[in-house]
Amino acid sequence: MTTGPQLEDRLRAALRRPEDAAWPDGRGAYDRFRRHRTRRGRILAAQAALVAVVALSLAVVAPRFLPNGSLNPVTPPFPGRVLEAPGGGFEVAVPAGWTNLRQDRRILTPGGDNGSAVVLRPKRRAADTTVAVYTAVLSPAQYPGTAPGRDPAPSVTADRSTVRLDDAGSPLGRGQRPDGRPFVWQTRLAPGEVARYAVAWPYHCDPGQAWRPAARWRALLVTGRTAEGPATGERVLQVVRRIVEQARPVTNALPGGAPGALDLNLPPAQGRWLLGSGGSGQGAWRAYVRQGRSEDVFELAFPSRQTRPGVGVHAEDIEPTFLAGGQLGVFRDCLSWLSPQVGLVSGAVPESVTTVRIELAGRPPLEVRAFGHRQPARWAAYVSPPLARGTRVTNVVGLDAAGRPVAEAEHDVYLSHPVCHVFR
Amino acid sequence: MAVDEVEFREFFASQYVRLCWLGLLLTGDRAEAEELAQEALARTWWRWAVHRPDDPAAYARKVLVNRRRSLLRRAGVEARFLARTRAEPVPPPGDEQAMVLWQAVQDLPPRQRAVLVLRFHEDLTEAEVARLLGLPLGTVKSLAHRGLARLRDRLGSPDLDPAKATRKEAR
Repeated sequence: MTTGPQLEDRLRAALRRPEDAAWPDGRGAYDRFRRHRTRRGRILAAQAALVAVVALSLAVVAPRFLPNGSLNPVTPPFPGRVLEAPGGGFEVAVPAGWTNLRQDRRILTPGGDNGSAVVLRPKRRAADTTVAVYTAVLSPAQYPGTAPGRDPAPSVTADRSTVRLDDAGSPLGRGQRPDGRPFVWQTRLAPGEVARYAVAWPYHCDPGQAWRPAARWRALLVTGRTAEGPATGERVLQVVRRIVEQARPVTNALPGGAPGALDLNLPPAQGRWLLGSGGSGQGAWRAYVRQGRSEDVFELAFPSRQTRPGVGVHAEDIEPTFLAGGQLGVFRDCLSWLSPQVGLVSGAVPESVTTVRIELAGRPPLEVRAFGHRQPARWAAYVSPPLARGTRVTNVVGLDAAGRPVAEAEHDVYLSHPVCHVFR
Repeated sequence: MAVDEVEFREFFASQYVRLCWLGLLLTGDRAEAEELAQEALARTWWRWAVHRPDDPAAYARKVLVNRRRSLLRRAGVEARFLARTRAEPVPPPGDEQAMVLWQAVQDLPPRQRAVLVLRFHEDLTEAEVARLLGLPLGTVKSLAHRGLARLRDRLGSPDLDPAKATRKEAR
């Protein structure tokens, strides 16, 4: 077969930098570099001082938030234009001197829908200075309005993928907006961050709508950051505070007020969920979906091979748009440590899939039940029974409860390679 | 340790365009690529001031790749907005097919794109890519495999698809 390498050769050619290609505006590059280097040196030198100043500023500002739990009145409402993020359920006004850097969509909602976000930056150029406003689902232990003093540590999963609002041991600042929405703010920040707030922003769930319980744990997150000095940091902090106070709920957000009785026994919406397990002895497996800050990940772990972290686990990103488009990911694993070797095909599937049909060359198809439905994770999964080495899988089809095909394997030229085939 | 400005300037001249190009392949955005290259070289300079790296070019490349990764990971959603809403990718000069391929690479998920760029642009081995990205070797192989499969699927060209090509020949 010669066509396989052809793509690789073409890829090499397409990605190759033309010989002696110049970079646009490359002439003054070294001068810009010297300025960049000097700036970086100043940043390094100023970092310690900045930390101290920010800590001091927060220490001064904190009491204004904490005693009665409401933000002190700040300057009048923004005169700027209003940006609406319908998927995120909020709208914000762009403050004077700031502009909308971008408005984008990301997977945020428990139902797997897209949410929106807004990122603002000052009109005058300032290094790495942004205020990001978006919604995300938090763990109950960190949700605004939950019991004061609750230790957030238990909500942090083993892989630390849970959104975490503060460091263990540091008190959460908390308060309430004029409309009754509770908020918390983070007391210890990542480098470059000036402020990070979370405001209760639960979904409005229409009667009969199949929302997950975690929907109530949505929060509006407002994060300000800058690589500039304390003066810019103060400006960023002011903008963040105004947004915390003045952001308005729209579309799918509850119109206001406290989020109601909170069931603290609900599991966090982010973490690593065991969907199911199977096999036996050296061939035992456990299937997980890990939901973190970035993409959801499907993991197939083989406990007998997990001799150290990172070993014995096959993990791949789940691409929601891909699965929502009726395609299935087919992950292939060869259990090479068994004698004789066997292979497994597995993957994450939309929750509408109840059965997966694995079609084999020269053999009747296998049907396996998808599992892991009704978990906080958004996906179910399937794992085939052990397939003898050399078995050829020709297709994988996901069927719904009525037996209708709802998803099919991605077109993949390697799918039909024999099980435990070694690619060279 | 003082840095020899002349020596570093020569190093800069030899690496700047290369790093910009790598940044462009990883981000698809010219301004972001330049910023990454500048940052990588600035960090290399400060490292050089303490102790000259054995292979400054490899060090700068590592800084650039890690910086790109940490922007995606540490800054979380904000950085992903930057990554997703980048300006239109600037294709390299080349024939139409190369431009289509370039665009298809830009549309890959970030990790698949990084693996393919490092494999086929930087000509690193899978093991070197794994070390550079801090991923298990198996994951790198899997990402490369899925990235290539995605490209074949995306391009849909019979001569890039072994199965279709075989069928075509059979006819």
